[in-house]
Amino acid sequence: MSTHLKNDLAVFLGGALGGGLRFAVSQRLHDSDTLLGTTSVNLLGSFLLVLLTYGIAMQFDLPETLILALGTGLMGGFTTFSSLLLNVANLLADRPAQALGLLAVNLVGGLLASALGYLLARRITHDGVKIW
Amino acid sequence: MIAVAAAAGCGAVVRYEVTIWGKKRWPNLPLATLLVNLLGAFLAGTFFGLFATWGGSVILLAGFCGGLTTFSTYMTETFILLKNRRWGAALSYWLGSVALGGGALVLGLLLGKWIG
Repeated sequence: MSTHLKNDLAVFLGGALGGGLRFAVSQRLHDSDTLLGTTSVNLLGSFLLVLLTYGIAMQFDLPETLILALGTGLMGGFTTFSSLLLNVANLLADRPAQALGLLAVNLVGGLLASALGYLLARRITHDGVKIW
Repeated sequence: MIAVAAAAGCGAVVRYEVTIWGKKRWPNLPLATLLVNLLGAFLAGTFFGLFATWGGSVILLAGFCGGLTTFSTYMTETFILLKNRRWGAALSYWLGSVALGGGALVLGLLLGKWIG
């Protein structure tokens, strides 16, 4: 199997797992009314993607196909931009403050989660030097 | 559930392919992610406008569009732009993605309702 095809398959499998998990979380948290499903996966995913890219992948010297499956596939498929905007738009008419507030929580919280992931990644790799 | 997951996998593969192409075209800017996110927002609007009442619409919305778009990469790239002190690019990307995404979604909704 060519590398490109292997990477496509890795992204597909990771994306399917991530999307399935997101769907399950969204259903459990009644996401279309509360936006809590999308918000939680987006914050968690933003944290984990940076931790994976700058910490785990470097620390354990993961092969590229696995990084693609976990990062581009799993985390990319787990988090979503389209559902966030669609649910904000649907909530906007009835509960505008909640809709815009949760959008802000995603945007500001996502950045903070990324920064937190980066700080933790730096601790794991000790500025690039492996400590484990 | 299986169909939503499979559709999300397909969306993720499209995003991956667009990203490979976009990284060659724009090596220093996260425009490939912006492109898939805008496309996904537009498609989500269109599908919602067309099929909102159909039960299987989650396959297209949560599945395909959810897998095509990404929030974690968008945040990671914004953070990296900030870390590299590219303040203008970071702010434009951060707020521009949402503003343009909202516009793309509304355009899609209008198109979907117009067709359907």
